[in-house]
Amino acid sequence: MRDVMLLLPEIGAVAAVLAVMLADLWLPKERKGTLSALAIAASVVLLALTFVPPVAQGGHAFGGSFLVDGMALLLKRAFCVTAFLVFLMSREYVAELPRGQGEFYTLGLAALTGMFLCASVNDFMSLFVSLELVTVSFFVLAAFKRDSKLSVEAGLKLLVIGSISAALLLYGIAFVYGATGTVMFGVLASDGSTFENGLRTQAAAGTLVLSPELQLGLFLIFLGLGFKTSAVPLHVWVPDVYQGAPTPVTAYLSVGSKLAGFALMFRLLEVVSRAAPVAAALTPFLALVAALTLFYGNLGAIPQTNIKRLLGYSSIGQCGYVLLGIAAASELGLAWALFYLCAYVVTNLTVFAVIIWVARATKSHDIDDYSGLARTNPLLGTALTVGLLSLAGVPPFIGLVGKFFLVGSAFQKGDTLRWLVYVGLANVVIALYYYLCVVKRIWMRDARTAVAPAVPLRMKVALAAGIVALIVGGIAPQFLDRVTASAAAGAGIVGTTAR
Amino acid sequence: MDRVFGEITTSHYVVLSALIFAVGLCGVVTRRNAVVILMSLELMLNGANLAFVAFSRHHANLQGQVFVFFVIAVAAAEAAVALAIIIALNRVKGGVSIDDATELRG
Repeated sequence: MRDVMLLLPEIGAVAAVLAVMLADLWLPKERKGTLSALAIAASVVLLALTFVPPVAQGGHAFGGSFLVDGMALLLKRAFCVTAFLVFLMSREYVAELPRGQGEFYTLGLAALTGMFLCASVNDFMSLFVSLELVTVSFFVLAAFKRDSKLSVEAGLKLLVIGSISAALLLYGIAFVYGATGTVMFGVLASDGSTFENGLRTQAAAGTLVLSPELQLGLFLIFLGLGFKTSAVPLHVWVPDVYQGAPTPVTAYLSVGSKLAGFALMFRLLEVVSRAAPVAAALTPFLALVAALTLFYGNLGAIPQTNIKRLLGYSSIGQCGYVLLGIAAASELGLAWALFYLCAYVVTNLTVFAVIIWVARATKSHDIDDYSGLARTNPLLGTALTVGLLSLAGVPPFIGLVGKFFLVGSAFQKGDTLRWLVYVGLANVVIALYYYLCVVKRIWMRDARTAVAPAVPLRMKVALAAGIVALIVGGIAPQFLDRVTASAAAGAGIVGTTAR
Repeated sequence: MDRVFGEITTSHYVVLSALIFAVGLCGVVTRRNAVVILMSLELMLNGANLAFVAFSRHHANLQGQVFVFFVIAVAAAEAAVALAIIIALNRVKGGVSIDDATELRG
């Protein structure tokens, strides 16, 4: 019974999926707006469920294949906030869709279920199934406007790259299973005594080294997870899909899906970091991927003229910073990576909320159409400015704090990762350039958008809250820091059993 | 047969799975028809499945075989969504070639 109680948020999420699906069947066409309210309410209830005692206490379930610890709880709350904000900002957008309102929220909540599971998985079998639940939901969501050439193309590109990455991940898991004889994560953390042939004692030095099959397996797994987090080399879908997919889906994809991929990376890395040879084999690989991701994202963003495409490249760049913290593979790196991702949820969703509302008035995503936005609509202009500056890492906003400490955690690793610190710093400057180009347009005198987009009160409150959160988080980061640091420190406490 | 080829070991199965996986990967990368790409993706997944079953026999535990059932179920869901997207592509573009889907670039 206790096992089932630990799954309360997941059970709640599945119930929400079914509730929205059934409500969609029963509600007459003119009252489909209720579905939006239902989905928003569901995300709030799910957030509350993560605070219920049996869940909040944490622990193992189902023979150790499901794990609730500090990191899992923090990530689940972040997923709830993401879903809440996405549903909140997509209400009008979805209401204007010719069909499939119910499906939009059903799939959105199904993806949320997958993300919940991603935060808690503790064996490769659940990892694969949870990840595919998120991915397949997003295939449909990206191609949601099936009469639009761009949306279908986005869905197809997400599908092909997503399936390739899933196959690579699966093949990697097969080899890890082949090397260790089990699909549980715990075995990776063991000292090698439970390994059949995963770790081999090097005769000369007496130290443990990784067998080639385990190395290949881990390499393929991290490559496959890189698809979700938009890391090089499986990042190629990001700009195209971000541009082509419906904007609320892009917002959800850019935050939720990415966070799910990072949740799995954190979990694996947290297990792996307890086995020194495994961690040592992964660090150079992750550092290289981080550097390539940073450069690709930030250099690719410079010539863009479409704001969604620009944010696609920007999101690749942001992923590079988190990978930088992951490559540092220390508790400090993990804590700040979590901090950065939590800040990224609020920042990116603030930016996307503005984009959805501007596009409702202008019907376009050209950056030129943002000229003079601050004059035609001060709130939207300010929110977009604050969001972009926070993404760029300008004081006093929260993005700066995260970037500073992520680069700092790599710095603390000493000379081996010193080059990565310089790469990180160089990219801050590059990123500043393209973000400021947009900000400059927003505050230009001649407004190109004569029509001021009408913003409902609900969105005004949400945008104002976003601006305040970004500023307060930047001035007083210790509140969020305390939460993420304890989550990172607590991550290993209950998750240590090797099976 | 045994006298000619010797015993078939786990390695043989793993090499075969790697070959199937590689054939699938080549198909995904080089083919232009979306349906053929989908078939190649299934080939990649089945290459991994074969490796799972081979390792499962090697370790004499059933985790690998159970994993394969999950993979088959997930692959079926993925194929259903993939075919729906390909049909949508055919509707808006009048073809199922990947070359029809090149409007998003830059």
